[in-house]
Amino acid sequence: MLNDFLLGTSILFSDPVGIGLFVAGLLGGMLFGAIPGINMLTLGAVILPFTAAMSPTHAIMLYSVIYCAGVFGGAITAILFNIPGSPENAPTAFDGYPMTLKGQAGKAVGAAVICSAFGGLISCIVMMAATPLIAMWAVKSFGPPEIFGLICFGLAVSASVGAKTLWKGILSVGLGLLIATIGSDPSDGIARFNFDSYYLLAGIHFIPMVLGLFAVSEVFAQTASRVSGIQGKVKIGLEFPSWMEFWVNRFVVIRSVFIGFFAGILPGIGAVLAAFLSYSEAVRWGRKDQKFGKGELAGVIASETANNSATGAAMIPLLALGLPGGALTAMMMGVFQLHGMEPGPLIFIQSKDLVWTVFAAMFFANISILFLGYIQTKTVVHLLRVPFHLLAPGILLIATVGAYGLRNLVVDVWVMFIAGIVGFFLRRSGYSIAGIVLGLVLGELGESSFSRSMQLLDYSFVELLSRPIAGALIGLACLTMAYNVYNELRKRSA
Amino acid sequence: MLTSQLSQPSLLKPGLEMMGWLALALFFYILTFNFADEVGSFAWGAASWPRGVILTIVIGAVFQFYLQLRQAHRLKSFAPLSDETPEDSSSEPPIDYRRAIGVFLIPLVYLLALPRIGFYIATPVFLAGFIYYLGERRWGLILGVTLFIYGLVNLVFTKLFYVALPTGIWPGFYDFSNWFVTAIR
Repeated sequence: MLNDFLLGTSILFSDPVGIGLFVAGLLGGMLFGAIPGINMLTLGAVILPFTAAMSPTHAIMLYSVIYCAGVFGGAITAILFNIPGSPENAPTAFDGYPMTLKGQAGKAVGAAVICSAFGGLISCIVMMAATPLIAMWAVKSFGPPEIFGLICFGLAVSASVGAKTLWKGILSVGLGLLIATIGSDPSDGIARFNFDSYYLLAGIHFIPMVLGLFAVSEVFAQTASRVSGIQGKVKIGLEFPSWMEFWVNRFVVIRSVFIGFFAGILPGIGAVLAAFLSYSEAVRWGRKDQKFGKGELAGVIASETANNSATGAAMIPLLALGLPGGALTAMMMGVFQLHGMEPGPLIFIQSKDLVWTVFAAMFFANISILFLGYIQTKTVVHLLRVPFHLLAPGILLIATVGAYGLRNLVVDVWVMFIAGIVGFFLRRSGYSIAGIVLGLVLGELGESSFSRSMQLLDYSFVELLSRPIAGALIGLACLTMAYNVYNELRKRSA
Repeated sequence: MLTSQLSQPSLLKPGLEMMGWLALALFFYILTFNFADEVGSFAWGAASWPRGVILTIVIGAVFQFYLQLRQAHRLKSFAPLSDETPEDSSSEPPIDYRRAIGVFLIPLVYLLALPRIGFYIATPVFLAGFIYYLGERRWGLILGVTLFIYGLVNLVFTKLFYVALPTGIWPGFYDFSNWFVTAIR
């Protein structure tokens, strides 16, 4: 493994074009991940046609670097403006933004930088060491029933965080799931809730929803209030948490790495669920004196470690078996096809140089996050000094362009605007915006895995529950809900 | 008795919330009958999953209201009932309702104008107008910020990424927008 890694490193850094693409991928991923509405998927889609002119190694390497930098990039705006650049950065905002309001923006950013780099590096190392073994196990053991079980568990856990009460959390997730049913059913393409509209037949895309619920509703919340912006003096800078603070949160870090890696390796699940699961587990296992949602460092650590840990893991099913782990890895499939290649077990034999160059690039990209964080802090963070009434129209405009540019449809901009208004009122009433987003993102996958499971198992719930992994996950989901209900009742009785 | 309890200020908001959720659930449930009979490869049909989600929403809404009702009985007070603990009550800044109307309306007008007069004409007007509405009175700063944001967005999205932003459909505006895009590119 070490020899292969050194080979990949030497290929990466001996080629000026490769170095240039590496740096461009880092900066582009960070920038696109940071700006709400245009995330790394936008960048990936824009550059896809241009990759035909690149070598396969360069093209895949570029995407993998964009992935690492893009997942991190949205953390800064999540912390500073409560506007996550991407859905996987949403849980970072839960505690990152309150830390900014308390004047601890630098520490939150520092924690995000360190933990993103750490989570990504560990995931990368495990990816290099164990790709063939882990891929075979995960993909053989996880079929539609197991994926359905995992989504159930993830949604059950997410219902308990981010909202004022458990029931508001459940309603938030339920609303997201309901919105995800608009369009057509995943099994047979039967039109649902589309009101005879051609546009709605494709469903509500999650990017305008995320833009509306986070960016637009935040602009409305700040500008509609009598007092807007951050009150008090904001200390701006990159300030790493102390060793003691990391030591105190060591179990959060370790747990988040595992959760992120496990979620990332499963096709279609990825960094979003990793971040939410990790955050909610941090809340569940947190000490009584920890106030999650009010500026708790462990919240930022949990989310950012997990979402970057998912990046390396997502490459495993792609490279080993040709199964994309998420949208960006699906684009990478397109890159392979453009070059007449097919990812799978043979790629380790036929294109070993490509594989190890990609692994090396991801390794160094995760190290580079430390510098990216510094650069981003020196540039993006100074936007905090700009009065919000000057910043708000710009944020709205970029969100509008982001929503429109997705499919060149004004209806997406309307979706964003309506989501912004709904999000504004739901936030004030204590509902979880992130829960809505999670329900929306996982709704279609959950439904398709459920319908395929039922068809596979002859519509028997007993069969579903008797599968060990699926049964365990669904059981855990039920236990989680029961525990949360018990806690809620106990709180109200006190 | 329930009506008189609902009319108390403490349960009005939770009651309205529950009714809102139930109305939403009922609306979508009625719509499921449009496709409930269509059965493809999945024997339970396209309506089964949405109905399951709707049921979850109904259960969540009813339980939420029930627990708030129970808490109100237990407290036996007329104090405003809230899910918030005292330290949470100030987490969202207070709304200035008059200001909020403009904050919602101005982007709404911009969205209505966007497909009609086009992005390249509507946007600078929107930027300047919104900044002015939010309280900035220095015209130099308003124009400067407007031009900066407008220029940056055009540079990145129109010139570099060739994103096809709306050019409008009204005569005159469409022609100007096309000329402008050609000039930039």
